[in-house]
Amino acid sequence: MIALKQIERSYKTGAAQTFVLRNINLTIREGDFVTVMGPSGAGKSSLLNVLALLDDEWRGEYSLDGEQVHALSRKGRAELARRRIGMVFQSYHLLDDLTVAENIDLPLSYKNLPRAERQAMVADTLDRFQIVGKKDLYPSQLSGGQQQLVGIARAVIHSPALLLADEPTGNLHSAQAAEIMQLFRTLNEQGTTIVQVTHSELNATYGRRILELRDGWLTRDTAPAQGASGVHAS
Amino acid sequence: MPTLAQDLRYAARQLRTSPGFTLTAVLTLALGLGATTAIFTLVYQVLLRSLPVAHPEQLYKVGKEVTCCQMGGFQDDWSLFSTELYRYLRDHTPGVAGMAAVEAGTVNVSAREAGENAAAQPLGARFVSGNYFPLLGVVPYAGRLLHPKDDHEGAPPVLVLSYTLWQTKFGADPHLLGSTLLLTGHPFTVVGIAAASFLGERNQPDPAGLWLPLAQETALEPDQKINDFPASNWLDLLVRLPNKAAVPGAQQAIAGELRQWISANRGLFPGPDVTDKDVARQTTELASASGGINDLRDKYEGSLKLLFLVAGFVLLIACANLANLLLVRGVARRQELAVRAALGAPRGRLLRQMLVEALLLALLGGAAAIAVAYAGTRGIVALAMPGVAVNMINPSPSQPVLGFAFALSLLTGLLFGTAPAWVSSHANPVEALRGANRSTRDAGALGQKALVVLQAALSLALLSTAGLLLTSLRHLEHQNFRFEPEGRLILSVDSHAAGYSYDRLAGLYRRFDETFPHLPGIENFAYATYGPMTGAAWATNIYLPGVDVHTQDNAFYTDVSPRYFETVGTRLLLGRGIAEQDTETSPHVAVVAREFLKGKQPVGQHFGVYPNRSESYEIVGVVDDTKYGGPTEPPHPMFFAPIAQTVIYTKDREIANEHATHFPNALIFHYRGDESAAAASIRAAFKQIDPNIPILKMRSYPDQLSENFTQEKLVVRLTTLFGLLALLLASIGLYGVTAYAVARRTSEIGIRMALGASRVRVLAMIVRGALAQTLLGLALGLPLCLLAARLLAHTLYQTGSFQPLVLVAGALLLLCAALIAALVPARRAASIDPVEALRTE
Ligand SMILES: Nc1ncnc2c1ncn2[C@@H]1O[C@H](COP(=O)(O)OP(=O)(O)OP(=O)(O)O)[C@@H](O)[C@H]1O
Ligand SMILES: [Mg+2]
Repeated sequence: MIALKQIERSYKTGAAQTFVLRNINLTIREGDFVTVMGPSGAGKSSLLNVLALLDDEWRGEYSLDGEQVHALSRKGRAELARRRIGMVFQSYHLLDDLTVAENIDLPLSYKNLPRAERQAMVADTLDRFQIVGKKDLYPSQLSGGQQQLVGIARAVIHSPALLLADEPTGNLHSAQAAEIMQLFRTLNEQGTTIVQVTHSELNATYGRRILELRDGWLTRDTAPAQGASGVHAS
Repeated sequence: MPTLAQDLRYAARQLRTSPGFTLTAVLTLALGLGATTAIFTLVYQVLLRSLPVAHPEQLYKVGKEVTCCQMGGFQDDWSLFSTELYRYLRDHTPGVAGMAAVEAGTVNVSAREAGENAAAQPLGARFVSGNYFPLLGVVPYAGRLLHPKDDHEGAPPVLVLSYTLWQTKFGADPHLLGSTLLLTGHPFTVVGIAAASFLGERNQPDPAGLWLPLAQETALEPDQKINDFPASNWLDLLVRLPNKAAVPGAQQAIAGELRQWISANRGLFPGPDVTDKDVARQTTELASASGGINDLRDKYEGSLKLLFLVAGFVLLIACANLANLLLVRGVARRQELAVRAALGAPRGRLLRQMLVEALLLALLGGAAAIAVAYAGTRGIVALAMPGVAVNMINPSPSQPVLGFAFALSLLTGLLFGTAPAWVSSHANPVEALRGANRSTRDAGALGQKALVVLQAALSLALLSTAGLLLTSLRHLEHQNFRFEPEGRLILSVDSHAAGYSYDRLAGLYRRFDETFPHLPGIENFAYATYGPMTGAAWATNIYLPGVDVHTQDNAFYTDVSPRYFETVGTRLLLGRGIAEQDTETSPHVAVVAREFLKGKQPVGQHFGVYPNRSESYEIVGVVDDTKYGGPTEPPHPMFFAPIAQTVIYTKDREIANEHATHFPNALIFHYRGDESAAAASIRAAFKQIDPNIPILKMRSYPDQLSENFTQEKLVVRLTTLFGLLALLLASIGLYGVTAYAVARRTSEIGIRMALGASRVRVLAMIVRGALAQTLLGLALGLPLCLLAARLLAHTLYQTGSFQPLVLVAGALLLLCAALIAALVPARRAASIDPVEALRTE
């Protein structure tokens, strides 16, 4: 589903060029659940931004679902992202002025869908995430875990093939984190390809594959340590 | 205890550290305060300033109307007086500390230094009573001023000069004092120069700078001798009343004496029998003359009040802008204020700190505004009174103007500083410290939007006002004056000032007729007492044979040469015009305008201008109603008599009046081809005829016509300028608020983009928000526009106060400006990098 070839990303800092991603070669199959790990500043978020098509200033080749991203215009990339990708953020990034239902509706509002269809999809999603009772509340009236639940509902409402999550449980305590991870596993089992960034070994065990970044280099690509999921299962 | 000085120092540092903000604020203030101060300078100089004489507050004018220049008959509410009436009132009113008289109009004289070959220069002079200078308490700059004993028949002829005239026309020549000046050939000794600040009692452009005793009028103007006619009213009277409580008594006394004098001199008034009822109706009142006799007030008061109001609105918009800037700054400094509050600073102290900063800013703006006001006033005066050499309006900031600017700056500072200071000093410090700045709601944002809406509303009101005035001016200028100014030149001359007496006029006409029609390129030539729309309009009563003298009508009249109607382009409707056949000896005829004898068949009728002389003229033709009076007035009944014919009267005053109309003040040329070539050949020919006749003005008739609208044009220009200024300020305001909103919403926009919002959508979202505020402003501005139009309705010429086109144009202009102002920050919003936006979260 995803194929990266020699992806590089650098920032100009003063006169120097600082590389944050170096020669990344990577394939991710459809239905995979990938965890990206590594020390702070290693380039994990940078990689995710490239995958999310939010970042435009990388070099290399990136094909997503057979589309050659590097050959697409900015508009084409935005269009592709709108159809295929959902994003979950560490600090949820819900809009404070909108209710839960309106926040969830946001990605749909950027597609030209009929109003009735959108309302049906929002109702479905609220139902699926069991937050119907909260649909008229504002984000400030929710707990962190609930906010992230809304964030995920918003990310998947348009049934993206690829779900990207940057430290989705970073602001949550472990019980809430486990719930979110369980949700990811369910989504993955229903066919969504997931790439998450996390510092937690425990979270990593929910996935099928771990990538490690160090100083912008892809340094490891393995299955998660055995037994970790067992810890969870108990 | 922290002092104000500390606050000031701190405020100065704050302003220095953000030069962009400070510069924007000071510029905005300079424009708003500058516009207001400029208009105030004019208001002060025209409406509020006192005469530079001793105790001006004790001076009163007899009669509240300001009129010019002479009239006979009953005035009912008297404001002009004859010399004899003046003397009677002066000698019989108890309780006044003196009464002086001054000619209401001016005489043009041609002045030449005796014994020199210097060319004669045309100057304005004014006759004054001998006690004029002592009563006002004016001191001489050099020599002496006029005394009562100069004002006697047979006294040696003397004159006093204004300092300005001495400087500008006589090169400050020290030998002028004591020398002899020839005024239209009559020798006068220069006995003194008045104090430099004193330009006369009349507040008017180019005031007369020569003062002559009343008694000299007879010698200088042998054809007029108005000084000798008890029925010719030509003087303004000034009284000094040191005790304010004595004013009502003095007024009553003067009115009573006025009636006594009229009653004793009934024969001077028209009509066979002046009744007691006629006499009892006559009265007068005292009006404060602390500012002199104010021509300018009469002319400009309405316009100045309007402009002052408009400038005030511009200032209000500037204030709204500044309040906005300060709100934005306050929000940005919330963290700092929260830390201070947490460290124990009392709220009052923070509030004071913010206020001191606002006031400092306002004072800086005020200082810059004084420069703007000075330049602005100069420009306005130049536009309002083109070609005026000596202007009583001084654009330099005087003490009252400086005081006004200072007070206004402080007020402005308080106005725009208080609300933002209050809002930011009352921010919840706990929330601010926690960095809870993720919320997109805050109190300041609502205030900012409200201010933008207010600005849009006020701007629309100003723009639509300008539009209304412009429409009115268009109608005024493009109305049908019923003559043809195109291709005509008009020459204003003063043959009287050049020493011509009535007897010599026939010779002058002959030389005109022999010379001008034969110049190359001259199609038609005519001369007259005055021409259409020159600001002159002489009026007289009309008497018809067999009609009761008490139902007399009134008409304008002018004497004209043959071919006059062809030359000015007035259409002949019936009968014939004035022609060569109308000579000194042929029957006396007149041509009338359509309005004259409305509804009756005029040709063949007779009329006259005195009750016992109702057969003086026979009407031989009717012409179109060409306008001679004010441009906003309807055409007046009018008759035209041949300048070559003189009606023979027996009474001195009637003879003098008849003779006065025969001096040709206007020479009108209809030319072909190049205007400047025609003008040059006319000038050369005129020199040939008589080099001593001063040409007062020579201009194209369209220029002459447009002089009638100078003031209206000025008001339209200034209102438009202020409207555009308001628009600019409002746009800056909208830009600021939108830019600030974009900065504050960066992360929100980033999120929206990450969730699929296209850039076009983001752009549209920001622009829509800005336009919504503008539209709300337009909606609120609409009633304001209608209200302003209502208030203006009486000054508009053939323009209804509801002009949908003007409103639509104003609204479109405002929307365009808003769109431009919003697009800049909206484009910035659209180019936000979502990765960055989410990172900085
Ligand atoms: N806009 C930028 N300008 C300059 N350098 C940047 C910019 N954004 C990121 N970097 C640098 O890129 C490197 C990688 O950053 P990135 O956010 O991808 O790290 P990360 O692995 O996600 O770290 P963390 O675990 O702390 O989130 C860092 O060294 C960072 O300083
Ligand atoms: Mg990161």
